[in-house]
Amino acid sequence: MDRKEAPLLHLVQARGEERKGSAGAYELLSPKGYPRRPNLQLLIPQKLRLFELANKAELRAALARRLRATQELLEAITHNLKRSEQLYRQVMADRQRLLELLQLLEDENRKLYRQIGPVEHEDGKA
Amino acid sequence: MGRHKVKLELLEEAQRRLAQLAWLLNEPPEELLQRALALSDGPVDERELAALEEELVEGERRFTRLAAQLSQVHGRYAAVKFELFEEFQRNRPLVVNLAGALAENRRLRRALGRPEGRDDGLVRELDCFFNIYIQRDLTGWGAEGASEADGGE
Repeated sequence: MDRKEAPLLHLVQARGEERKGSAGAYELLSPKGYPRRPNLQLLIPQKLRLFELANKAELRAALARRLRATQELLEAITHNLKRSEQLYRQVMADRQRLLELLQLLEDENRKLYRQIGPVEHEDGKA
Repeated sequence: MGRHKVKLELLEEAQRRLAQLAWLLNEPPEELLQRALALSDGPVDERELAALEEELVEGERRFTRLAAQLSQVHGRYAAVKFELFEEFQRNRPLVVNLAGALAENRRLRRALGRPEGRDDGLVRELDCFFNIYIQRDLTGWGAEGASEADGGE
């Protein structure tokens, strides 16, 4: 069949909406003489097989691209996950050290206050 | 040339094949169907087609496995990032308290006529914490690049 005589295809929107999840309903404007249903239903799988073979290089390249892109994304996120886990451990170690230092200074300050002794304010209270 | 309208529903196998092609080539199925119908009839090399389909099915399986792994890692990453942010924020007031305690310590030492220089190491450590937790936000501290992978999925 000549390219110009190929049937015009239109997705049947209404039917598509009624049947959510089904992308299999189509409406065709077919030239006279083009096979009618159900022959079309049998013809389409054959055409799809031809299409696959005619576009095999494109299909292989598309698959390779998808796999590569997904693999790269997985590696990038895995790297970020490891980095975040490392940072998390660092933050927790810092917390420990901050608490230790704070305790140390507060203890020392209490001792220093004791050495200074009570401070008498203007109102006479210590 | 006259045309007539035909309504049809693809057979299950054709639907599956068309959906696979549309996913792979990232094109609407109706456009692919249009392109397929425009092809001239010709012989189909069954062995070549079977090999190609096997390759595509295997590729799709690999993709499904990768996508599952990706979803798992992404979920874990989101959780760790959230926890990291929370814990990072909890360290901030501690650094401020530490700076306050150190200033108080110096003041008390001065009041008692004690030397103030012995806590140089502590001052350096405090400066370091100050730089990390007060002057920068979490992104500037080392989680850079995280956003590149965040939005890409």
